[in-house]
Amino acid sequence: MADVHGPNEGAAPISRHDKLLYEQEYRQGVDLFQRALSEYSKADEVHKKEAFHEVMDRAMQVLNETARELKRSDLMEQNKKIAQSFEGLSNEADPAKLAQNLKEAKKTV
Amino acid sequence: MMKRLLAPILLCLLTASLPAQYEEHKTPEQIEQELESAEAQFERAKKMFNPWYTGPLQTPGATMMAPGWGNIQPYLYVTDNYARFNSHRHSQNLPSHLVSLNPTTTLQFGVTSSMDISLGLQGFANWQYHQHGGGLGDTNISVGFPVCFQSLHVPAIRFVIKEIFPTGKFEHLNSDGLNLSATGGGSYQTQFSLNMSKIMFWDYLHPMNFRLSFSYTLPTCVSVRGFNNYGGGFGTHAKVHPGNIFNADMGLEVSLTQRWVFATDLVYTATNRTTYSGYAGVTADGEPASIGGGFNDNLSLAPAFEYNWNENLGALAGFWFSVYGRNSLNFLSGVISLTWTFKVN
Repeated sequence: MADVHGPNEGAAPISRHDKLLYEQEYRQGVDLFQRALSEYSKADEVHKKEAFHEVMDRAMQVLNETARELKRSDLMEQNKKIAQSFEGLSNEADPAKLAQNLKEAKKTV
Repeated sequence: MMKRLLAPILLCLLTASLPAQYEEHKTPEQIEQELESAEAQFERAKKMFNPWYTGPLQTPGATMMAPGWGNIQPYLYVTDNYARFNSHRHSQNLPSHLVSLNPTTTLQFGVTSSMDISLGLQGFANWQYHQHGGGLGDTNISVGFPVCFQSLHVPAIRFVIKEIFPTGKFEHLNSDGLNLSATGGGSYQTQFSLNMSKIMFWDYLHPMNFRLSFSYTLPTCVSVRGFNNYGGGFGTHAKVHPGNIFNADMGLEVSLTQRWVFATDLVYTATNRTTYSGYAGVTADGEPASIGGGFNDNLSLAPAFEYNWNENLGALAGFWFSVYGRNSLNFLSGVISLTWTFKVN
């Protein structure tokens, strides 16, 4: 049975231009995540909270995609931390840990 | 044969497992589009507001009144009963419109987090054939219990038991047969209701509130003398068995803005036949009087607009009119109401 490879495995490295774009998008993703988290914490209506949660979901997707395209294990590791604290948010965990992880992610890229 | 079946199954399983291993490559432009879309959703979400609703005209709510809080909601109905649906569901104009003024007030208080209590009072003033009559109507007390509280995906459901007390006039009415002074049913009535409501944010800026209510009312027998709300005439001395009443209401409120809301109700009421035992009496013409009637039902709509000054104070005004019925009145009502929720202690 043939092995299944991801599209980037063995592919040519990404161009410097694309690398810069992915890094910029990662930062934008973190920024959007931070703003959505801030509004989520302020919202007192469940549907509004849910809407900001969805935005954070989409920002998380951007973080994962850009980290994967950049093939940076440090960013993937950071994303894992963000995802864990984000998951805790649904269980009414303290959003401070998530905010801290996002802050660190911004510094990492 | 077995191999033939296994091959497509294995292919399906392999295809289904691929996405887990094979992550789609995304160009910077594709991710940029995702970011723009998420950013747009964020901006829309920021404009979301906590919706304020007075409730539509007819369908009762499912939200419990919090302990230590109260609500007062007076209504004024001005009704023109201009026709009557006959037993074949044909509308037949009344020779003289029966015009009715019906002020009502509901007072509700939260007792505990799992119980609230309401008191309903009402009055009537009726006009027909240049005659008029009226007075205090029946009074009701209801107790509400939560079945479940509203959350993101679950509607609020409330069970209510209402007792209607016969404080209105129902017998010894004027012998003109118009029954304009009839303001009550004369019987104790026990009503069981199940009310549901759910706020939906299908559109972030125009949330909607759905309400659904089913109720069943069981009236007790009532002894009547003379001209009464169920018919009768001179010398009537009978026991009336009012029909049970089924009611289904569906309400919808659509927020145009936080303050302005469009509301509408679809109301269906069906009443079983009302029978009697005893002496029905005679009319002024000496003919045998009649009491009670056959099965009747009515389908009506109640569109309205709400204006909410804040989450605790709002007003609504609209129309309520019948569209279909059998042995029931064909009517058009203008309705205004005010609702105020206040802290008791």
